[in-house]
Amino acid sequence: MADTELVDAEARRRAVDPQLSCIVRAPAGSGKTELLIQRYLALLGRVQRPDEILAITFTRKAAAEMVQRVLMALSQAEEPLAEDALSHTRLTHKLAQGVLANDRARGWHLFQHTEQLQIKTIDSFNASLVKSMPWLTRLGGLPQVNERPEVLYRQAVAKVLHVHHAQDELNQAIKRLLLHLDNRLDILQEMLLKLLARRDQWLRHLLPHCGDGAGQVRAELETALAQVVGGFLRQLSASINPELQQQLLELGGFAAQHCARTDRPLCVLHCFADSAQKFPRADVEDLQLWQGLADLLLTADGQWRKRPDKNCGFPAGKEQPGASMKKRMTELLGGLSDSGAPTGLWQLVRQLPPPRYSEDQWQILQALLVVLPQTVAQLWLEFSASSQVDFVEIAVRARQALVDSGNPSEQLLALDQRLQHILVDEFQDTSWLQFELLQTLTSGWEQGDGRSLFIVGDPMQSIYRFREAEVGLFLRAGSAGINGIALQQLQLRANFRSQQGVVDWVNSSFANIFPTNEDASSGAVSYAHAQAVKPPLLADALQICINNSLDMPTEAAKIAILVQQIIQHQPEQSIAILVRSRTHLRAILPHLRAVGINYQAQDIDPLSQRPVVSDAVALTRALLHRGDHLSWMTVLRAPWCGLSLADLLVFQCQTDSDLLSMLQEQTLLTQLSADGRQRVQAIVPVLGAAVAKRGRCDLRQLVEETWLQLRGPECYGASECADIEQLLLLLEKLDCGGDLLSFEQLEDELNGLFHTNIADTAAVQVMTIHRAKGLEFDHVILPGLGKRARADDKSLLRWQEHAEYGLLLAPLAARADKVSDPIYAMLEQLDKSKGDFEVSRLLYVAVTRAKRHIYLFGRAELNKDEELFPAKGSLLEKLWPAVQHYAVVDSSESGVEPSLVHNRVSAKFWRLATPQVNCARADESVHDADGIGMSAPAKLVQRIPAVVGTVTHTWLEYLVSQEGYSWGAGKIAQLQPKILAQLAKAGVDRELCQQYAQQIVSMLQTTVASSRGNWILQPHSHSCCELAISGVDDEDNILNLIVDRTFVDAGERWIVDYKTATPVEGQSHASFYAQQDQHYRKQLETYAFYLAQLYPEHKCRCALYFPSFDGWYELHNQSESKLETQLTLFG
Amino acid sequence: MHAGFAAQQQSAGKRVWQRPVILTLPSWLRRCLAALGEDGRLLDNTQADVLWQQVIRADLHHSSMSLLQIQASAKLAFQAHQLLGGADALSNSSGYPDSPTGYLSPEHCAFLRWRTAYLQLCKQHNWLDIAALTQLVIDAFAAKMISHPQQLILIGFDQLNNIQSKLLRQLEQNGTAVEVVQPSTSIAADLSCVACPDEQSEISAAARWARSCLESQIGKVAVVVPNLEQLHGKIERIFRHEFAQTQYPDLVPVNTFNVSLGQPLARQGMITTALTLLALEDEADFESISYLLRSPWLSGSDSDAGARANFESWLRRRNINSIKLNDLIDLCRQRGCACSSFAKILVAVRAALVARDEKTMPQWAEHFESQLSQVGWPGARALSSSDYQLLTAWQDKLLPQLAALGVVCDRVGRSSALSLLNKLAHEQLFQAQAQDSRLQVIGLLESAGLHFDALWVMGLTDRVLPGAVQHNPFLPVALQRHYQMPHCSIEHENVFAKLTLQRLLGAAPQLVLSFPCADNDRQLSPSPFVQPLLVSSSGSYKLEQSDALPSALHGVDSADWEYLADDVGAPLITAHDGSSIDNSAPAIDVSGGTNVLREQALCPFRAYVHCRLKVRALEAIQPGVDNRVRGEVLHKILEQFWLQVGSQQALCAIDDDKLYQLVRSICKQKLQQLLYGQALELLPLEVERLTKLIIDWLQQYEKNRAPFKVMELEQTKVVQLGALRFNVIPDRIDCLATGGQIIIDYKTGLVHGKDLLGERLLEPQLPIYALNANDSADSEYGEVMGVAFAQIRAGDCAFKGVASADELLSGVKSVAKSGASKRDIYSWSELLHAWQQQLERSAQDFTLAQAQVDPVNAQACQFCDLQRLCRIGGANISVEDTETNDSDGGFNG
Ligand code: SF4
Repeated sequence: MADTELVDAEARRRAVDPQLSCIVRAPAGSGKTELLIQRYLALLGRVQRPDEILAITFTRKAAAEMVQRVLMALSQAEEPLAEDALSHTRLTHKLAQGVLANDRARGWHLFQHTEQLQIKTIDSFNASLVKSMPWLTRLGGLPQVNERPEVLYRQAVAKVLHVHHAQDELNQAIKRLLLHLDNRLDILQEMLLKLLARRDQWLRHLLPHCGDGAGQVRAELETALAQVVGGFLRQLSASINPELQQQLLELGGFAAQHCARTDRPLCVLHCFADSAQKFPRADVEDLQLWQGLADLLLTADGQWRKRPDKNCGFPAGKEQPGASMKKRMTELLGGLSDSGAPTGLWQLVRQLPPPRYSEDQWQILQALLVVLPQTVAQLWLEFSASSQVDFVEIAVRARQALVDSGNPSEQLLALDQRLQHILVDEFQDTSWLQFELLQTLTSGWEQGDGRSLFIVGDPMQSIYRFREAEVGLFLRAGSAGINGIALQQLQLRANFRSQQGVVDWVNSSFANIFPTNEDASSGAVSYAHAQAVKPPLLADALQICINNSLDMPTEAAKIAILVQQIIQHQPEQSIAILVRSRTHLRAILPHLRAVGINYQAQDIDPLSQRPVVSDAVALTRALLHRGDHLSWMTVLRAPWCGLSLADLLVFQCQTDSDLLSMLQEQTLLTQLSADGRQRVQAIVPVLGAAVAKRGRCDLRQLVEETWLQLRGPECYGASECADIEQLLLLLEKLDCGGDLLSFEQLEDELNGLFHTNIADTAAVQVMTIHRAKGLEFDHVILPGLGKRARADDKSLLRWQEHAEYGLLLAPLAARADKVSDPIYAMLEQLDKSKGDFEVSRLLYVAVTRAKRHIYLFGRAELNKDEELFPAKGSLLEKLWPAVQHYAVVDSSESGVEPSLVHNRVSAKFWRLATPQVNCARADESVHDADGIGMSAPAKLVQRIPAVVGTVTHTWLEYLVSQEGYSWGAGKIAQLQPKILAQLAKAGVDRELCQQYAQQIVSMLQTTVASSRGNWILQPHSHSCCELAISGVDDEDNILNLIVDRTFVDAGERWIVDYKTATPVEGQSHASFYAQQDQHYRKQLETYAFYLAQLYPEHKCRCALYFPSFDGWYELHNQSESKLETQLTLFG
Repeated sequence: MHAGFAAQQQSAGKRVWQRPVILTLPSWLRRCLAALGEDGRLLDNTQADVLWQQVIRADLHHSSMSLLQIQASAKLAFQAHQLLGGADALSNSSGYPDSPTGYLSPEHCAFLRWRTAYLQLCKQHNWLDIAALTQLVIDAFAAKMISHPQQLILIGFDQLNNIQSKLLRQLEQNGTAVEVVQPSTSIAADLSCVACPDEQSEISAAARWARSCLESQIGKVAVVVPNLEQLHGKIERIFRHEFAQTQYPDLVPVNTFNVSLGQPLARQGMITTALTLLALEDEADFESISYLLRSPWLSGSDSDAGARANFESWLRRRNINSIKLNDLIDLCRQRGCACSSFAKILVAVRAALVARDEKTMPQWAEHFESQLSQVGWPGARALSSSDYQLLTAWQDKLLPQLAALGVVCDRVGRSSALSLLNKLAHEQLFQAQAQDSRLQVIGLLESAGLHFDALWVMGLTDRVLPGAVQHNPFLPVALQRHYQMPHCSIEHENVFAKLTLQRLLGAAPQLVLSFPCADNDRQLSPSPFVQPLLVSSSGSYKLEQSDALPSALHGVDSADWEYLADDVGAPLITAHDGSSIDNSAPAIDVSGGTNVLREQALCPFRAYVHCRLKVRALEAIQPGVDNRVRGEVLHKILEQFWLQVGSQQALCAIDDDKLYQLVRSICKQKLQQLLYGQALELLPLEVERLTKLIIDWLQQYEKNRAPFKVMELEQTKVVQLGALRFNVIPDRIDCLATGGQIIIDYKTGLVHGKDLLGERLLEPQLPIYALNANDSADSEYGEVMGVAFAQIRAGDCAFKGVASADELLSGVKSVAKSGASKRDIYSWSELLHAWQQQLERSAQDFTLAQAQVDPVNAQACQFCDLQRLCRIGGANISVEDTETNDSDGGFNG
């Protein structure tokens, strides 16, 4: 490729000018990422700290890739540039060198601390804001983000939807809504769930008014509707020139006066007869006049009238002025219809509703407005209880916190966010919320203050409306800037990806498919021509197969053949099959399999339908629920057991018995066939053991191990088993003490998971168009173009947030299938036209993935006149102008025998031939009941004596440590508050504390009052308290001992153990001591045994001291008992 | 470390020795405090945490603000407070040094407010917290109130903070010999550095390495895992699988290896049950009830497990969404003795709930303890040793901790006490102790100062070394930088990372460092500090591809498979020649009525399972009034209504007002009878709804059709088809004024008239009624002239059916104009004949237990609960296509 100047070289130069704030349109294949990197490097070479630049990407993957690429550019800049480098490589190299210099100068250590690069998604940027503002965000720290927050919504809604709230208003509102919805709590619940998920869009419109009464809200909502109506009227009004206006005034006035019927909409036009009357304004107040005009011009089915008659105010007859008026009217209509002027807008205006709710409708909406804030409040409580939130909450709070601080830029500074430059990628898929964040971040910025904004994206590729993307924001930012920062609009045109043939075809087709005029509010984006950098290939860029006989199997077969051919001829080239919705692929995949093509399909096959997963789910449920008979049956039928239908009858469901018990019942087992009995007997021990283990290990372990024992891995073949991991991960996630809280949640979440097949050698990638965004392939195959999209969503509640008008809300329909409200219809229309534009863009994304060739497959319908036409709502419909001439009528019958996909059905019952399980696993050796003989921990009340003992010990030690201090009863009594605190800290109830503290004090008092006590506490030689020693016993176990008190007096080592026990009432000291002797003799002798070894120079004497009554008991007969100890040790 | 010392002593031949004092710094400080006799003042961290929460709550209350996570904020604030303490900063002043712009973030203002309140409380109650502890001890040493140790050795202190340094200075002043042991600068002799494909394979490889180290008896082996807390379960699992494969079970601690940290107590089954049970209130939700009914940790869980599980299923059938404890106890008792043990549990719970008064924390601890013992927790089954450890942790750690919160909490209500208990249970980690020190799996921080014979450090990506800069949000960044608080700056992290790596490099003679290359679809890079080693290291360890495979779950292509055509079950009657049935055999009564034939037509497998095995999925609880019950109620209401009214003429004679009253009273009566316990509060709404619906129906459909009299209402008939005998109950039979009967079946769901006319007879009950009414001699009303469903649902009412002539019933067409003509059936009698044949065939198939998995269309599967059992899932492609392909039905036996 020659290094010639690109068409858009100037735009590219400007885009990397760090002084300039700009918005760049970068169509498919225009090398956007490189440009972004260059811009980033250019900035990085100038800033003081790397984190002064914030780069926002659409996905985490994109962020990681961008970081990688920046680092790569930097490390390449450490090497000299190749001689023959292209100009853009040179530029990157130069910029990167600038960064390296800056890095050195400022000591960033970028390579070691890459996290300084603030390249992240908007979600993670929001998260970092939330993290640094626990107070302002009201979130109290970064909560866990639940990516499936439906559970939380569900809980919140369930808690609101009852009718025994303390607030009667709420009860009444719920009742009203329920009655309206046929008392279907489930429907109301689903509706609220959907609303909660998108609460960022309505909350700010509805909530601020909660206090000001419903009237205010109603006024605002109706104003918004009026503005929509006005918007349509303006469009229509703009299309009518003054001359036509005059004509219409005159003709309309005449028609109204002469109309044979008085109930026609056009009758309102009689005011036109008044010469002072002006042409209707584009205002809701004149809506009826406009509708009168529409009635004048259009027939009932929305065509221009052919000839005016008396029913529309032009009676037959020769008299003047009637005859001439009629003639004028006929000419006018003829002119309109000849010019091909579209009637669409007129039709639409004719249907426009007066922007007012009826009283009934409003009552229902008002009830909704009562329930919604409560639901949001309840959601907050659910968030709080679970310490989890959804992404919406994070985003809303992050921005709101900045706003609430009153001074976003100061606040950002305080957070150590010195944002100087912001780069946003994929801006075409920005949502309102994100746009507002951007506004907040840049608030206080001024033109030319050295800060810059760089926005890049391709409005032609905006396809994330379902995630609240608003392509209009891109257009708006381009024309009006952001926050007063003007953005220079730059358009890239060079296409580095596709060969010229592809680029040319896309240019010629999409210029017509896209609307010519851009409009921010309806999301209309027009086409920008691209220029190929790569020369054309010889072969046609495009292959098209569009006819009327292309049913799914035929198409699938053709595609399989096509793929085979490509692989044969160009084995090294990449191939992708892209579809609008994954269901379109279900027929193609088996065909690919059938002809032995390796493909990689992600997110296509639902996980729950894979046999390996569905059996494991049944196993899980069975283990957790003895009464889940069906799951137990499924376990018996699964390949590891494979019980026959006839044998299953033995275990037919009976009331009040569970299958596990039945399986263990001999009388039932004898009724089985011999083979069946063997099979059941093989698995029952495994299942029994697993059920017994339930609750003792986590759920994943329980299921996984049982599954392995049942020889799960052998049951499905090597490739299938990979799916089990996903299920096990889900079980980990839902684990609640080794069990499940709700089976329904398991099933729910399972439905969101898909089979992943990982074929390293995949020749073909199969995916949805959405997923393919940002990728490129040599060959792109687009099947199923003729398929209708899923029917439009007929939600009961239709609403949307409009860029200028605010919240648009239609009355609540009572039944989904019978909606006929005009406001509803108007909003639906708005939605539809936005959606329509997006479909074109989706198509654009699909075809621009191709580097070399595009293959289009679609079935067209045949009408009565044997003409082909595309199904309504299909991609083909959009593409039709560009491909119509390729479409052919095919009268032959479809050529593929349908059996190809069919014969799997009969083969689906299979099992392991030998009934046997896998018990060789070592971890089974853990005995469930190995705790036999262990004693249960003490009750709380029983702990108190020990606590008293410990506290007493510490004070006795303390007394020893206070050498030379004389302790009297009074001084000891002063310790009581400290003792109380210690007891409280040990968990003794306040009311009991006093009593025990008193007891301790009196023990200490007794001790210091007694001469024996004083002797023990006195300073002695070799004096120690709580002496820690270790010794090795005869079995080489290490014993760790602590001796309460020991000292040497008169050449003898005393070993004293404090005991807080007292004789029970009426017990003699002698018998008490005997008892204590029994308890503690061994312990003391062990002390003595080891201390004697450690300090052999002194003879040991052992004694127990009882501070509560100044008791003293010395253990005698040492030598004798020594022997005893030895005996026990050796015995 | 004690163990190390012990080993050293032992090897020196000693049998006994004095243990040196080896403690963590905080516990030594606490000892110093105890030596002062002041230890009663010290708040432990949980208490301090709760105190912070109280302070924040009070502040929120005062400003009537809300905060989502008070606990988390309290943690952060407490942490900030400790950081200040550690940095020896702001101990006297209560403000910050002014920020250069004079702007003080609301975060910092809030914190200052809280801290002031907190310090005030501490002062008031003479409390001391960990942040103030060091200073107090320093003062004590300075005042010589406690004796200083002779020697102090600090091990594993990578960095000392200000206050710690201050303490050391003080001690040195007092004459203590202080020695800070620096990590050795040596580098492992055998150092390997490996890149693993991902985390999973990294763990697998480490496990295999550990196993082989152990098997070759290298000595003490350790694996260091930086984010051990998150990976705990995974590590345990993979290591367990790996070790289980050893050939030398005596060398490898198969079941006794130790992973430090453990999982929160609250996640352990026994504890979860306890917490769930304690959380029960007067009104219980189904999920908790279900959990407790299935829990193995309550009294009777063992002996009555089956009965409880069945009771759970029964509650599902009754659609009990949430229920009063009292009602539940009644239901339990009604179910008989097998559930009485559970009723006892509930009675105990109810009794415990009676105490509504506020209590002190020790009282609550005892209260919870006794409530649990009354419900027989933790059950009657024999406990394992780890169960005992768990129980002990609960009893000896958790409950006393709760009681100890009494220091900072006054009397509180049950729910506050419970939430504190929950908090503790989530924070307290539990790990069943296995005494075996041959292998240790530990976190990065824990490894400080330790030495091993072989060490593997995993997860060394650039996110771990260097660690991320983290600022405490409650302290100004500038302040944190000024005092060089932990994690406050890149420089800090840089130094820390270098120190950590250095220490690890010298921690064992044999060392493996590893990192994962990818995390799902994201690429990960090795730590830049490790990167140079990647190239230079030449240790003995090499990663084999097979090492990284997570072996256990991998599927294998087994030769041990067989395919079976098992699509016939056990027949009801053995056929003589395999096809026709001996008609002389006694008839077999089939319960479930005509539904059997419907299912047989929908899918033979389904009929076998539902009607022979009698198995159905557990019902899922529906919000509001159960739709199944709704259908039943409507039937009963209309039965009652026509019983009273009798004919169209009579209907028309009732004026609107009276009609309303009549319908309403019937609705009310029937609803009360049939709604059982569910959704009672919605009953008035349901009455209103049904009244309106039924009046609409009567006015628009019943009044406007050809005149009729109601002849029969819900009368049971016995019908025999082939060998089968059914009880059938037609909802209603009308007699037209012009003669002839119309049989009517009420439906509240959507029905399709074509289901009466298709190749498979999907709605057999009307045909059966029609055929059998003809048989009966009841001809005074004439013959059956039509059958129809009365579809009665709001906004979508209609008669749908087929008749011998048009306009016998509004909306119902004659046979000739119906879809039957597709099958060349043009007259009523032909249709009756066809029905007879279809029904007989179905009956025969059912008798012979024909049970092919052969759904009539995709919808059949969509609304079927047997998808797992019949294993249609994998083959659903063909099912989806049957509608478009028109070539179904190819698999009939
Ligand atoms: S899921 Fe479909 S194939 Fe399976 S039993 Fe039900 S209806 Fe039959």
